[in-house]
Amino acid sequence: MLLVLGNGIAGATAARVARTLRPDAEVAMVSDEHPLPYSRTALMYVFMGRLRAQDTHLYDAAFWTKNRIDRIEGRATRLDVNARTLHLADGRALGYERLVLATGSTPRRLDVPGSDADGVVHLYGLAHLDDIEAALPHANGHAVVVGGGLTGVELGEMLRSRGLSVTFLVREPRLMPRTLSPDESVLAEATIRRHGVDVRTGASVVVVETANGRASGVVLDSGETIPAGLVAVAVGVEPNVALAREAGLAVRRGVVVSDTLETSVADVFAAGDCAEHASGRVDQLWYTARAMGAMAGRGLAGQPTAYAPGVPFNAAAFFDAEWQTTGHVPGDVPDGWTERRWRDDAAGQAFRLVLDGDGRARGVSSFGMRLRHAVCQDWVERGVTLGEVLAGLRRARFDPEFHRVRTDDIALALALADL
Amino acid sequence: MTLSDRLALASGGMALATAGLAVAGVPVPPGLGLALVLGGFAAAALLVLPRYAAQPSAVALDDTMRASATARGGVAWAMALVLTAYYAATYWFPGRLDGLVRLFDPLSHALRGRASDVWFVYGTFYTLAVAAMGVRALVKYRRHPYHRARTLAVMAVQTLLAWALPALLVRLQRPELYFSYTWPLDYDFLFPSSVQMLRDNGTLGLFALVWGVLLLAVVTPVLTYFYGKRWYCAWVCGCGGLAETAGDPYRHLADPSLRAWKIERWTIYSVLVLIVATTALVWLRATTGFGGAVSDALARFYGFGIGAVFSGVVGVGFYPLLGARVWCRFGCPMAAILGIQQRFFSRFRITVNGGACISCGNCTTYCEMGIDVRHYAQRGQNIVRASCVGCGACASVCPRGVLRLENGPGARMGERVGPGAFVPEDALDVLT
Repeated sequence: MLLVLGNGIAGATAARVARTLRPDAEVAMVSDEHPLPYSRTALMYVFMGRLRAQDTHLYDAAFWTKNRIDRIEGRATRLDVNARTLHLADGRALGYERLVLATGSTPRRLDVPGSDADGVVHLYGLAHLDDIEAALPHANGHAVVVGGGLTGVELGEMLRSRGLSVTFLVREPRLMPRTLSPDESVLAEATIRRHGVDVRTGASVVVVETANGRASGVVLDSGETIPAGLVAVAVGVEPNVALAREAGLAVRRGVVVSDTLETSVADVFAAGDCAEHASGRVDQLWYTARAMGAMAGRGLAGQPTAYAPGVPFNAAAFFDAEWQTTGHVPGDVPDGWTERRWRDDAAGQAFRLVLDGDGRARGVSSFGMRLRHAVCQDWVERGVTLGEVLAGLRRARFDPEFHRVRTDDIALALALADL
Repeated sequence: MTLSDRLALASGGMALATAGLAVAGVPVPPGLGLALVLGGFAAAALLVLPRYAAQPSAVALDDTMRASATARGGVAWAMALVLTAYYAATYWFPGRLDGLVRLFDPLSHALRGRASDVWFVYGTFYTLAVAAMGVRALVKYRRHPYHRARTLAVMAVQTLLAWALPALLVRLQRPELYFSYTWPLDYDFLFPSSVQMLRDNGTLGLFALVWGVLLLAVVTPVLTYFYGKRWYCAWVCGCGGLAETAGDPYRHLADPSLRAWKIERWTIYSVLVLIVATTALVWLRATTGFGGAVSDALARFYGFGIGAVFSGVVGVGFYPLLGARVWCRFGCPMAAILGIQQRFFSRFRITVNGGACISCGNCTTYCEMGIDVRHYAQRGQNIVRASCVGCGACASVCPRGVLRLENGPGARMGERVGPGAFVPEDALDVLT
């Protein structure tokens, strides 16, 4: 039996890939969360009434049945690596030939007094939507979102859609400084403000105030109190490692894995949010979880392959503004590297090209427009020059037909700036 | 329910009540009655605008799955009941609608120089729905130039080519011609009786006949090769026009399941075969006198079963329950022909942007043709499907900019992406 614990995007992908490579093997996924793999990134749309929960399923039940990937519902309580057995809470014991741990992560709690109160909510799985729904009637119309990452932005959009006023507390001096360029931070913050969210940068929560066990507001490090009956916390996630640790696997922050995503125990792999590469790297994006799941699936099938995700990429939405990156685009570029920036405040659009010390393209990011992934990836893979990027910018256009074309404006502006 | 929602319901209720009173024989003054009916329906369509305008998202879709009108609730069932009853009355009990028809006399006299009839009432309602709900779609998709352009196109075609021009022709004592349709959607356009009628109507009739044949034999293959079937289904066709405007709030009701796709492929090509056979047989009879009983029965069955029940009562009456493209997806023989061309002889496709799909399901959910767009997007595979009408909704509701409607081979527009290039290899199949 090729067994996968967890059916998030990492686990579901591992099972699919293993089935493809091993048509005759028994393949099964174990989950106590939901019988069908669903898209966590779609949770906000369920809350906003745009999707039903079943619309977020990656595939319908027939797909898993037809491809003979068993879906086992149950909570894993103990892993015995010597006997190659996974024990479930209901007493079942599942023997395996190889195993992938894709146990995901848990939202980090806010480490301040009052953070356990009713009305303090998180966002990771379907069950959290029920928590937020339950907290809504007690919110008194005002919510605070703590944590300046993408999940915080999503929570802001969700709560605005229900008519709450929202204060968005960002600890950093600007929005996502490690990920967004200064231009993109400005545009993202403007977008969020335009949709009625009160953004406060450089603001940390020191206390969640409570009344009768319910959150009633937060106190900032500045001493200011913001009343709020609903406090949504999005300050990152922690890998779920308890089962692995008790089984004796090497665990630091996450389950430690090699280049081939194998843990310290042979034939046991780990992928997604719960895994930590031997180098200390923990990737917790949807896209990295999917890529790791695919590699772990190869290992599961008996064809371990080094996890080499290639040119990294990411994409997100700040309300109605889309943001895309390809390659290495840190918030502030490393010494010796340079960047070319274009920004149109009125249109809410920005473009950035990151070049290394030799003048070769290392990363591209765009805000408020769509670029063609294949073209951007090609630039980064080949490390092309500024001139080649500008000459080929038109080919990267991916905005829908009839949209105002900006690629020529960008190419012209950056070419002039480079004279 | 917001205030504007309540007002919309009240306006629609007022229009419905006025129409109901007229049907029941209560003497309603035509001018006032007509104003109440048309104004009430238009107001019902437009009062949602404040809510759309207030939504920050790229496309206003919040609460679609909760609102009674769009989530198969009581409002949806009531609307479906009224719509199917109206269709049934128009087709089979037109006398029952006489009170309503008389309300339209002033408008009919002004436009056509003659008294109103059930089909003038039907055409006017249809055009009002496309126009008023078109304005609503323009606001809903105000950030999306592609949607604005195609919405304006269907509004113009319906208002001018499918309503004003036929009325003008009637006024001039000429045959009532619809230049935006041809065989096989206009199923009896090529029947011997219609051809004879056109040939008896001088230059105009001859022009209509030649235009109809050109539309089918030349315009359709050429435009479909360059742009896909969308040039017709989402930009010109009246059925598509109604679906993209009045039917826009219901696009998520299309069934995306594999089973529905299998049914669709049987039914739509069966209807195509049926109309080809029927047309051939009526010509056989007209030229040789052979097979009269069979061709008559087939033509009658097609007119009743396909023309009235399928495309009308089910196709439009069930909008609020099954979505707006039931006829286009499961029945329309024109869509079948366009679809075959699109699948095998067209440059049109929906391109998937590398590995950026997050499998959220917005594209699949809001595809009015029930295409499981996500299935392709999450494996990084471009989408070439016979049924796609190119409305562009998938590209607009995608929160990661993954989808783009494109005409043209990969070499010119960027690399063609097949499964496995950006996302994990996936040899698993859905349809085998």
